[in-house]
Amino acid sequence: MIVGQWGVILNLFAIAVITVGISVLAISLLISLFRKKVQKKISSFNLKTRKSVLWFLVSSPWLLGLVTSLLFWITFPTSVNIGLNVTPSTLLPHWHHPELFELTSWHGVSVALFLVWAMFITYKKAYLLIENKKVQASLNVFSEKQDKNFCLIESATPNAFTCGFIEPKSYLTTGLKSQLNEEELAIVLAHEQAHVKSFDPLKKWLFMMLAAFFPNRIGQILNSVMSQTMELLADQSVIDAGHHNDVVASTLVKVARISMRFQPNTTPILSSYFHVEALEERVKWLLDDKPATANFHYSMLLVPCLLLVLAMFSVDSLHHLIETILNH
Amino acid sequence: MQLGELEKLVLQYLWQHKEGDAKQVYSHFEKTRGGTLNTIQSTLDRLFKKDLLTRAKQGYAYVYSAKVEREALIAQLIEDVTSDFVGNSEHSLVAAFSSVSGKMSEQQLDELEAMINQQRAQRIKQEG
Repeated sequence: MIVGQWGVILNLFAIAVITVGISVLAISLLISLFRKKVQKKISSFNLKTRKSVLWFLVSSPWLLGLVTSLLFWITFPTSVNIGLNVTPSTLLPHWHHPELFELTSWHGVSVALFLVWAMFITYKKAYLLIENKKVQASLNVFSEKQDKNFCLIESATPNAFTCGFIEPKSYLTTGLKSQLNEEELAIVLAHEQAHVKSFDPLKKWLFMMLAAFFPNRIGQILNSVMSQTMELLADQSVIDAGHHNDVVASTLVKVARISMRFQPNTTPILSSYFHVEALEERVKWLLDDKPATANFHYSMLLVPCLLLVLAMFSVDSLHHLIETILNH
Repeated sequence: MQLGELEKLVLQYLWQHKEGDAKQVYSHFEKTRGGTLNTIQSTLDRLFKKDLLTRAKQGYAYVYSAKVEREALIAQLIEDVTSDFVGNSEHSLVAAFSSVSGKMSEQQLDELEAMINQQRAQRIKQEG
């Protein structure tokens, strides 16, 4: 048994872990039950707000974990030292014997299981990152830097993509370049540059890491919505650079057609950030003269507040329930 | 898979000359690049272990030849650098998108193009 300051720290960590689990479950249920409504709501936001909402959604279990453990902490007798102590009441969420942490109790098991799970996900994602970096290094050997904007790969495979986490780079193959006119080429490069400027590969990786803590299906939905939002933002920056919406849209379709005709019997080159991912939606979004403009509204904070209350009471109830059954 | 500059040069030699043993490759690079026979031998060995070369023993030496063509290797690297990014566990994420773009037919692309052309015509009319 761990007693004292470390006991308090481990108990707070246990509270955070339980909150993360409850929040992941609650958000997943919310998305599963109201998938269409949630997607419709998210689509109604302008692109930047949409991105922020997605980041908030995917990181909220961790934020709630932090806030919940802090709120529990102020009910601990040890917080008296800094004048924050709130007298625990049986009606309000509270935590018994916060200075004692039994490693063999359900708290200890929850913390240990969570750590194993988190380490497994971190390892998997870190491995992916290292492997990706290695392959990019190999690709650099076969590419030639044209200017500060992009590297040209001598290959018939038509492709344009951006990769690299710390120093992202855009790549374009000669196979694609040779089939585009000057304006189309400028559009493709401007799109890829937008990904470079906003460090999208790194952000996508971080987002995937957080989404990996959700059930597979929910993680996939979150990843695909975020990925599509990043594509739309890159398309938006091409328009902001002075290109007409319809020309950007027709370039998208042209690149998709080139890709499809290159290897009609195999999977098209999905990898290119330029032309993959719900092409139709992107074209329709580009042609839409009334794009979604909803901004952040304070009422949206109601959802995390409700989740926080749910987490607080769930941690407390779960605690009592399990301790009634297991007697610690 | 990670390839270095010398590995690329050796691969390029084998793509061009079809096959060669360590001595032949070394004599090719001796004047232009320098280095030692040992370096070339270990580079050939590394490429063989990376499954990019095949080799057959002729007398005391191995004769190497490229297992993959240049175009195929680059296409593979492009696929790796981008699809691996999505990760094995999320391959269905790619599949979800491929079901949109992968199953997309020429006809669907024609329909999208028709929509675009219509909007373009309106814009030109307004501008004109």
